[in-house]
Amino acid sequence: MNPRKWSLTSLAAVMGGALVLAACAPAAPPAPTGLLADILARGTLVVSTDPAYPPQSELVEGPTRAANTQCASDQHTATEFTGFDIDVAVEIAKRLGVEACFVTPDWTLIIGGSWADRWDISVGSMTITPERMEVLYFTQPYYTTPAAFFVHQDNTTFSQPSDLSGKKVGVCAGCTYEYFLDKTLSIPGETINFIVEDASINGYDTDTSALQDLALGDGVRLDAVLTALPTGQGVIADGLPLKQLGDPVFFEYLAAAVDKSHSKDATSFVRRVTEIMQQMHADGTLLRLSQQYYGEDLTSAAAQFDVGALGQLS
Amino acid sequence: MSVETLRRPGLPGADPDLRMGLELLATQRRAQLIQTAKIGVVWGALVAFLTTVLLQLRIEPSYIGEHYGFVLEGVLTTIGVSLVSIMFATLLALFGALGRLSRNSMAQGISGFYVSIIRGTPLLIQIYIIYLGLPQIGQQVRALGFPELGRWLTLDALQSGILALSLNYGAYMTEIFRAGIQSISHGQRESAEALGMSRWQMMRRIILPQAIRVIIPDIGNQFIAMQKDSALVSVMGIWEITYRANRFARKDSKFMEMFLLAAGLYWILTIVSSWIQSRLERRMAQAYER
Amino acid sequence: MSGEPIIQVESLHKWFGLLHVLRGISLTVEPQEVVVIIGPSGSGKSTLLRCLNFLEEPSAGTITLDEITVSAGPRTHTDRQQIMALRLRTGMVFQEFNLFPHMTALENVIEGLVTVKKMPQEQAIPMGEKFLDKVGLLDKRDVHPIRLSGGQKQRVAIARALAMEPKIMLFDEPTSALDPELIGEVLAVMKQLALEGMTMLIVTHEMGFAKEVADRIIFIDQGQIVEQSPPEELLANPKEERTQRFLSQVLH
Repeated sequence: MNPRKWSLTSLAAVMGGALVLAACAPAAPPAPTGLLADILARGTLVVSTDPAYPPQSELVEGPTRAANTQCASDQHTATEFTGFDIDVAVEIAKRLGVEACFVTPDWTLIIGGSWADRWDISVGSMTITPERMEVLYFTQPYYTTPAAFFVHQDNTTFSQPSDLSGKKVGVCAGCTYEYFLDKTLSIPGETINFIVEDASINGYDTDTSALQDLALGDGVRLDAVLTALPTGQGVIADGLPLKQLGDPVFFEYLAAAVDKSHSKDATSFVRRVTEIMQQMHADGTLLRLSQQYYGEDLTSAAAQFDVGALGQLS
Repeated sequence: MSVETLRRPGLPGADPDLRMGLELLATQRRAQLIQTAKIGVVWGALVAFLTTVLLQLRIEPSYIGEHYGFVLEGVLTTIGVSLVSIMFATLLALFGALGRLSRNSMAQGISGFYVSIIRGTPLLIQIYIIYLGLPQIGQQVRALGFPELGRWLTLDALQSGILALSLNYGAYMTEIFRAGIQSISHGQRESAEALGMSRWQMMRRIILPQAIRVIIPDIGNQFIAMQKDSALVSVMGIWEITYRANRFARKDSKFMEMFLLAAGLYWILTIVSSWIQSRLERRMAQAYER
Repeated sequence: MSGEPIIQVESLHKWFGLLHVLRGISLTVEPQEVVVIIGPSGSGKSTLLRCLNFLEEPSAGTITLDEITVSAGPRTHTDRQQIMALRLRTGMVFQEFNLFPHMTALENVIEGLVTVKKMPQEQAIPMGEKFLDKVGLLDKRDVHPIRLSGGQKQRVAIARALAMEPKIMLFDEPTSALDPELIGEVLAVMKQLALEGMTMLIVTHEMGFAKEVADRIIFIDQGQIVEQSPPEELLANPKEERTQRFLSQVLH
């Protein structure tokens, strides 16, 4: 479509290659290779984010593109967004010694893999699932979404989740919560204890409508709802007469992801980001961000997650 | 005999009944003006009615006033994508139509297949396939030992969007071009052939210059439609009107406000485009009378 | 002059679907001869004319025109080149004028010179002006066809055909679409051409013109040549009964 642009691109690639060689020459420790070497040579980490999900990623108003940025013209700078994912991505880039640049493809284009080298990494609170593991590498998760049961404030008969066996439970249809109730849920790296037996499952289009139905009264339409802990806490804060029942029953681990089909070898990059994630857990950076955006610690379970158990880099 | 004298009846010493003609003309003009004014009043009433209805929605109109700037920035992207795409689509449609009208079975087959497959599939799917699928083919091509060609097949979001819109509209416009070319009278072809012109010379010198006048208004219509269809490229994260409105809406859960704003911007765009189109049509109508 | 005929048509047939429009026409025309073709509508006279420069593909038969011979049948590349060459030797004037509306009178006249003969503009323009002058319309050189009367349009069309310097002029009912008062100016131009020795084939209903200008009149009916002879003979003493009936209708 635009031959001149392409020839410029190839020229840039050649020059980039020369830079890699120059950067490699004096380095004594194992020289970075593959995708990681590209990123370091380029000086930018291209991150995909869909700014449709506050407080993880949302837009900032006004013409806020950073000055002196190295990001390409069709990429956006960190200053154009705000959110938990964005801060994590910027921190990862900082620890790699490069600048974070953002592209904004639709979520459906991110989770399917085959990114065609258009961006390096997704920092988008992506749940680790077996299906996604077929096309993506996951790093150490940076936080979790705990799943918990909520019941009506007036209820006195339930004291723990296992009391809900055989009861009417509302969930969003097709979500992990439904699979927990029908006992088909499988989360890589996690053993799930299906403590609720034979619940009568009521599917809703969104979690919020289930919660609103539960708020109509104890046992009126539902006995309980299984949903994300922050979601339930959110509606309680908004005034719905509900309460949490017991501890979370399972965790969804949310991690950064890298395309398996990248034309360069991505494994050393994934390892490096996992190291950085672990540092960020260890030095409290993630905890601080979690408290800033969610008002609580959603990171501890993620810190303990054994990413090696996924067996994806072997 | 000369048209100029017919056109300027005000010359001194002309028709003694000139007064009658002038009065008639003035009456006609006045009637036209009144008609236009009446239509304007109807429009005004409808706009007022629509505004009243929309104000019944659960919206905060002031929110639009405070935050329209972010979405407004997308207008240039929408216009840019549509303009570039309509130009490529016009080229594609020209070749498509020539192919369909050609005696060459290869050209006929290719253009027929192109039109059929593009018109038979949704634009959104085409966008996905071009954005996600082409690079995969590119990888195979690269593996076969054609690295440059492989890279060509990996288009960025903007290029993918323009390609998808161009291909899609090119197919629909192929039919428009074909009809336009066929609308030129058979006599024109015959006199060109009788002069000894080849088919290509006839197309280039005689048929296309006349057909283009028939086609231009339709290109305008397609351009108006395309401005709205370009909203689909937002799935690849191009920050045009729809993307900006939709993503900004999520921020404060102001969906209706932002959607109304986007709708309003598209509407204004199409009104402006229609106006330009009608002026262009008027100029085209005069072209043979230079 | 070699005495060779400039046009030779042998057993020409034309089918439109199952309609047999030309039923074995054979015909010769001498150089500088003016031949007028008459016949009832639907008799095939226009089709015959249009077959001569292959605007219509003949279904069967052979046409030789100024020593170029093309037969009916599937077309090879060479055939198509032959047809192109043959068209350059003929000029055609249509009932509906068919001027190019997007071009001025002069542009119409020089279009063939510039596009087909690849003549440079500065050479073509004086030539175009010469032929516009010949039909008496030099003052209309920059006018578009929409501003011309029917008679003027047809004269520009004649100039356009003449500019290609053809050996044969084909006229397909050149005055049939004209208002009666405009017919004269066109016929005058044609008469002048005939006097200059142009070989002409004319399909027309203008019997007065035929009588005055034609060397020979051919009467065609139902796709066949019924009778042909010099005008004074054919118009005064038609031999065939069909000719008599036709003439009685057009001449009263």
